[in-house]
Amino acid sequence: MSQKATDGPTLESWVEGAGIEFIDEKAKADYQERAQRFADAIRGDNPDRVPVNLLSTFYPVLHAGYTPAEAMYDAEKLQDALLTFVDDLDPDVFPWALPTVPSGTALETVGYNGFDWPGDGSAPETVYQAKEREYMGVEDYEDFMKDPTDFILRGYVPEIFDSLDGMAQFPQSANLTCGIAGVHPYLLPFGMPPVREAIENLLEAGEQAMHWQQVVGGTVAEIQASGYPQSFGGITLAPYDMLGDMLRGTRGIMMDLKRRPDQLLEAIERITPLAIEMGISSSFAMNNPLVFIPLHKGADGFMSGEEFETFYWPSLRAVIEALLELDLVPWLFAEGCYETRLETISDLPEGEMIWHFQDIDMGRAKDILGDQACIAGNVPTSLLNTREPEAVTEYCEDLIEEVGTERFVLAPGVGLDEAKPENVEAMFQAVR
Amino acid sequence: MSQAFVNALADLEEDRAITMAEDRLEAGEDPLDVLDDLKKGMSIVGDRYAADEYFIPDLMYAGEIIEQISELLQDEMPEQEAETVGTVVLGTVKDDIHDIGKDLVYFMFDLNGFEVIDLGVDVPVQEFVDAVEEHDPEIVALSGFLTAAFDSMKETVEALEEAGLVEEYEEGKVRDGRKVMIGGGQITDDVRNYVHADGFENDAPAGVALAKEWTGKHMEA
Repeated sequence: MSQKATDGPTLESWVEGAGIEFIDEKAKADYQERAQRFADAIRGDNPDRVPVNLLSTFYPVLHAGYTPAEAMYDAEKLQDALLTFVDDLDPDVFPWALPTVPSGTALETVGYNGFDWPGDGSAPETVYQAKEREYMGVEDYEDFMKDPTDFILRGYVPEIFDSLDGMAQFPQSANLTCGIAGVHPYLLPFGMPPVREAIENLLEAGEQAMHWQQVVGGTVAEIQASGYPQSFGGITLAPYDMLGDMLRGTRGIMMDLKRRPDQLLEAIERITPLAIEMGISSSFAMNNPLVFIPLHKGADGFMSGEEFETFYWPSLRAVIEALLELDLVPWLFAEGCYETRLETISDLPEGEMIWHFQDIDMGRAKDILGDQACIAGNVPTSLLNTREPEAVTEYCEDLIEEVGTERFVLAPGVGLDEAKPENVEAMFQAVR
Repeated sequence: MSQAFVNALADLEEDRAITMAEDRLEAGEDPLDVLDDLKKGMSIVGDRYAADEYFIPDLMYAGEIIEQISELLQDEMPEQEAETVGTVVLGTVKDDIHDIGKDLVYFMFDLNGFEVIDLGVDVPVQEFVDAVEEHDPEIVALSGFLTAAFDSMKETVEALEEAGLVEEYEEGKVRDGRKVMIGGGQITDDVRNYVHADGFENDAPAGVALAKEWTGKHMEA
């Protein structure tokens, strides 16, 4: 790892808006005021009020009246949705990131089969569904352990992309250490039709992704330049989830927990440096210190307390620690219920971070973690979807009353898709 | 009864339990006795889950062990009519493919003597209607993890009402006849009311307890 703390984004550089070409001085001042509020909340440094971070996947799209499928296949519609969302709600931070809504066309070009998405597998008006197959079989553990990156490139990629079968015949990079004799074996696969086809599909998908980046990424940059700090920076996962979400699947990893715990633990250790690197490199690429870490398979019920302390927490803690060492800000998003995990996760390395909860006694979370971390959450989607604005206002006010205004960010309990716009508005107004 | 076998099952000692089942069958024991012990062992597993001693991976593991032992038993067992405490039509609703919660509900209901008709995941509204007509269940159990499931649940209940298969919903009142239960990670009482369900739970043992309460009432009615 070559990055030094001084090279990368920090909360300070984010508050300044370093690297953003603001449209005018007012936009810069607005940006800094909003970012300062958010940073103050994170640090427990007396923010002028509680900020709202409306963590969203498809909400801006639905808010603007488009279907998620329209957004995934028409960059201009997504662009319009994002601008409408910001215009209507004047949010404290722009709570959305481009990678969460990629080009559906590009996904089709490579035949991505890890998720169903709106317009391909899922109904146009609905959202993603992770398929959670065992893309990495039990028999693959040995290859994975030998060289995780090589396994992902030549074993996993052909499994998860139907149109990249040829990647299975990609050359091993280690060949290149054989001097001139290594070059021919390295080049040869690129002459084979399946590899060429995979590369052609990648080139085409790359062009589609680039178009997406230009239109949608351009809009995100425009939104920042007009004064809205982006609350999404980098992303990484807990090492256990890295294995469980997309390699072994929920069932697969749960069976590993029971049938081959030693092997599982070894694989978690093996993948931890990759989780760290993913968080750092994505954050540096976005020039944004906030590293989103959605937590999936360590929630209450998904394993015992002892298993959490053995298989989930130590490696996640190592990721948090490595990010903090570079002055990055981990944003742990604990999906599901985390009630029984609170004591364990209170053993935190020192540094600024956010713990965002879906389902927890927020007062207790504040008591246990409040000195060490900013907590965020947990307005339920059930409330935002099915009730009236008054109920939302009451919930938000009660919540703030309970947890106080220091080191707290008001946020939905999940990455928001469907919600009544008037209820979202009520959530924003509750703090103003 | 073999206490050692029951214990091996309850403690999820996969290899040991399977070897013991094989040995008992080879020794000519009545497969029904083995089945009886299997149920006893799994009943302990269910109790431990309800008591937060076991968790989802343990139940899944138990499911794998049951499957293997059931396969051993299958060839040697006479067809039998099992007594049930009630029938449940279960499925994950339209536009949602999450199966873990639903499978846990299946496991716990089955363990507790319910006959469970499992329709799978992403179940179209009409399929629920057809299954309710066919199986005449006391309870329709709708599972869903996504927010999108709220509307699918609502549509499903509406279709059941329209088909006259459940009574019209009245706020604050549990239906007299066939009842609708919903469950899932994001389900709250607000969602229950939105969906027009009679009850909701967030975990499988609580769902069983509610179903037992309901079927008790149902039988009195």
